[in-house]
Amino acid sequence: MPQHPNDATVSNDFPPAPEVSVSPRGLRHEDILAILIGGGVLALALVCGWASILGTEDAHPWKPYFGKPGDWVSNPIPAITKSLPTILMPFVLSLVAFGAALKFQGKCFKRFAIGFVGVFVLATIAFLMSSQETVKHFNLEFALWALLLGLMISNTIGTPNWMRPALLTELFVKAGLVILGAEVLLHRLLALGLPGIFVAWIVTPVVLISTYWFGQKILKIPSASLNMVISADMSVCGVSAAIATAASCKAKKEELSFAIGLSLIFTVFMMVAMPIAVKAMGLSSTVGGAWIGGTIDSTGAVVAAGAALDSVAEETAATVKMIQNILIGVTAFGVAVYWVTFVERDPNGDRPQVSEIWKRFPKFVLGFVGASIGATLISQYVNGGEELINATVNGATKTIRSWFFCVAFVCIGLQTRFADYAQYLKGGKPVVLYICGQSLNLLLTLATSYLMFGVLFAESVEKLNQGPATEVTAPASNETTPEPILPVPNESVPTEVAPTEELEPK
Amino acid sequence: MSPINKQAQRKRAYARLVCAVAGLVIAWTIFFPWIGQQSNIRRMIERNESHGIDPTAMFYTELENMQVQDGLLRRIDSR
Repeated sequence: MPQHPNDATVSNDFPPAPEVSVSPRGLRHEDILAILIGGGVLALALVCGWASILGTEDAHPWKPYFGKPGDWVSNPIPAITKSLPTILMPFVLSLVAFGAALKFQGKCFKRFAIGFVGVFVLATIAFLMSSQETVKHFNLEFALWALLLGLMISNTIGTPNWMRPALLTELFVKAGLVILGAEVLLHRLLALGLPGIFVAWIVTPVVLISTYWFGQKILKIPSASLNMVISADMSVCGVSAAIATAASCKAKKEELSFAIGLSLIFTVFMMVAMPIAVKAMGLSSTVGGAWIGGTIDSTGAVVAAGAALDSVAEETAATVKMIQNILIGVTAFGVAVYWVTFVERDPNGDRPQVSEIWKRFPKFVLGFVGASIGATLISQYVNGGEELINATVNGATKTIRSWFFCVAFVCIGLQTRFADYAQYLKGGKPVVLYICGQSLNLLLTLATSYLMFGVLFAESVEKLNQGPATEVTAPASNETTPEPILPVPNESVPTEVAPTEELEPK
Repeated sequence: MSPINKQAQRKRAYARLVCAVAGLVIAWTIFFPWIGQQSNIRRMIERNESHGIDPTAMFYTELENMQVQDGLLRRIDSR
């Protein structure tokens, strides 16, 4: 892939991390810049949110100014004109944040700004394409369309030179991941109690490791990073897991986009087929919901498939998927450590020293994990912390990181040729890997869901099949605590509900 | 490559891009809206819309119709 001579950050892969120090030169390293950008956005949003909540405002003050193109059916013009003011703010913020980072690296802000206008327009069109009614309900996410638009340009007229200084794929991805870290609230890993731990904590890593091993040892997939991205994408939670894992194992850009395309195609099929399968097998709503939640890759598709059964299945599926979402923090960290310790080591050399591991370690992962731990601590131990984190994420940061990711996928498309994908389709090994891994996932998750939700904890989850005793209302208030329907190891559980440790298998 | 050939190649490249853009416009303004009107698809869309479900949500925090309560992700509206 031709690179712009003045743009050192444009490359075809997530590059190996060079040595980083805390010297001014070290601070210019891309991972550190990503932490500064992501952390800076998070800190600013938290401070504004905190000031607002102290002033008894319900919503985050940024909420009216940060948005994406609205939904439409056949005419996109009203959708774009109506949401134009809320699109401008993410543009300005991105331009300032990444422009300042480039300036810090000693590069030309003006050239970046000109290129970024083009890239951002393409990202806006990608969001617009994903918000068309039918496309949206088939779970065809913005990542796919951002890639397609980029590929269309790079494979016809070629990526214009004026756009190239703005193709900072890794920086956009890593800054987005640091912001995403604040949504990974670790205490939510314990939702659903013991049954959830078995379905999400045990099955997910087992499927991830087994699929990766199968790809390496049986299928002998030439690229270990492609194998890892497909395995994580399929076993954890689709696009978000693929992005986090790809950055952790320094996968090639076309490997990330290939894995996401593969996942989205299968997700459309599974979203339709799994509710039919659950009904045909006569599974209960809780078992079916847990099965759907543990197997369908995409979070939105999980909820849509669960809702096709009933509200009990929908909530069970969504909660299992939420636990898997939160597992991406552990997965990204684990993959990064494994990669620098075992995959990148010289097979003929000694075991790498700690300093060598640190040198190669993708430092942005520390920002991602740090944001996750910080948000969890604020949420759990600061008075009003949960409201603050919810308001900050819902009102500001989730929209900002979506824009960062969308812009990153446009860049990937602009840096990729269709020919780059041909090698992955040859022999069909990645597709075989996905099908075999997903088959194992389906079987293991079904067995565990049935055992946990249908047999061992059947009595304690029986209430799910009857629905909650009280209606779930009042979206804005966290004081509403309807009767929990599953064992929850949480202090907010009302006293009349049995805590997790009292739940014994039959 | 002669300048004339280069120009012709460039024209072909732009023609390919225009064709691709036209294909997208047709797909998004005619084909997908038509697909969305087919009874089975319409049913799925209406069910999702009535429950406030966004199937393109990438992370649980993007599920606008759901909220964490008692540690569980619950639908906000009553059922």
